[in-house]
Amino acid sequence: MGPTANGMTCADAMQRFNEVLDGELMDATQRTGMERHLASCAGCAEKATQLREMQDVLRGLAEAPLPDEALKNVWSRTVESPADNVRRFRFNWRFAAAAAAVLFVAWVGLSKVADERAEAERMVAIKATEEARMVLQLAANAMKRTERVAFKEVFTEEISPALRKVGVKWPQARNGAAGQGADL
Amino acid sequence: MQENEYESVVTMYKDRVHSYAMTILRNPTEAQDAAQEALIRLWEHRTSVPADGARPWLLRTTHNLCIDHIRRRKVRSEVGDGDDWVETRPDEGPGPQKLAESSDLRHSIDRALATLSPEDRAVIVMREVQHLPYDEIAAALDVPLGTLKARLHRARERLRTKLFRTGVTPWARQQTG
Repeated sequence: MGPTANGMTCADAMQRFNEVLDGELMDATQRTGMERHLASCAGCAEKATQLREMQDVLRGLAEAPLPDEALKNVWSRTVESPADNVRRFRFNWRFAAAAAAVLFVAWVGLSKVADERAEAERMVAIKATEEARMVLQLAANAMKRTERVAFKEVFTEEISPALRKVGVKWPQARNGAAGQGADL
Repeated sequence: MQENEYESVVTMYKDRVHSYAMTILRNPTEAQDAAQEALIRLWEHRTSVPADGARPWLLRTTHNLCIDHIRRRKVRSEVGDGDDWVETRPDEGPGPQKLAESSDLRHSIDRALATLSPEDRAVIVMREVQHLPYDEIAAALDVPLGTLKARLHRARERLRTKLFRTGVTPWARQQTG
């Protein structure tokens, strides 16, 4: 099984055949040389057939599923771990605090423009203000902050960056720094 | 990687990670430990691993954890604690193949795979069973592409030879069936 008429050795032919198994492209001359070698060398032809069929069987093998018990362990030590739940809980309250703070400021503004609004609308604004403030109070408790500190914190860390991102400049409050919750 | 992305990645790759560990370690308990550990480490590194880079990261981590397990086995074996290296007992564990179908052919492939070195098994499983691209395998095993291909060709030939010698091969089955 030395070099055949086309000059390709058994080692070269099997190297080329492995490249075929790998799905690699090869030039026509090499492919023809390999095919001629396999056609004239029974040993290499048998090996090639065995390699091809072995590959077919390997490709058909199924996966071994991760047992449910192991998956439960993964969840309990990652997304469901107590430490991460606490972190998410705090984040949610910060989000709630930010939303409530924005609503609070907006509704305070609306409720004070009595001369331009109907009385009914003003009452709605006052009611909404009270509710937004209640949410802010709950959020502040959950964050273990006073209402004023919670307001400042979420304003500085959540609201201002969000406003800057969308290009909104917070108007300067009459009594100093913007949106510091002077009425709280 | 966001939390919901992590959950998707785990759901998508948990079986692949476990199958890989099972084929390399050939021990259900160790394979489960390695798979769990790899998935948990991904969570711990989620801020630095993007969702689209999770598969190669998991593959590499699982491979390294499997190698660590094998090294520990060797150490245990050397100190003579009675726990033989499982490599010497290739029939241990069901293996992914047996779980899928317990035909003679698959059983013989399972046994033949068990006789290969962990390195040979790694390239066979990653390429032939899991159909992973070369660059991903090369990154996982930390070898150049050329080395990887040479190793794959050698591993294929070794596996073919083992199968041929067992007498239970696809070709023998075809002849008897």
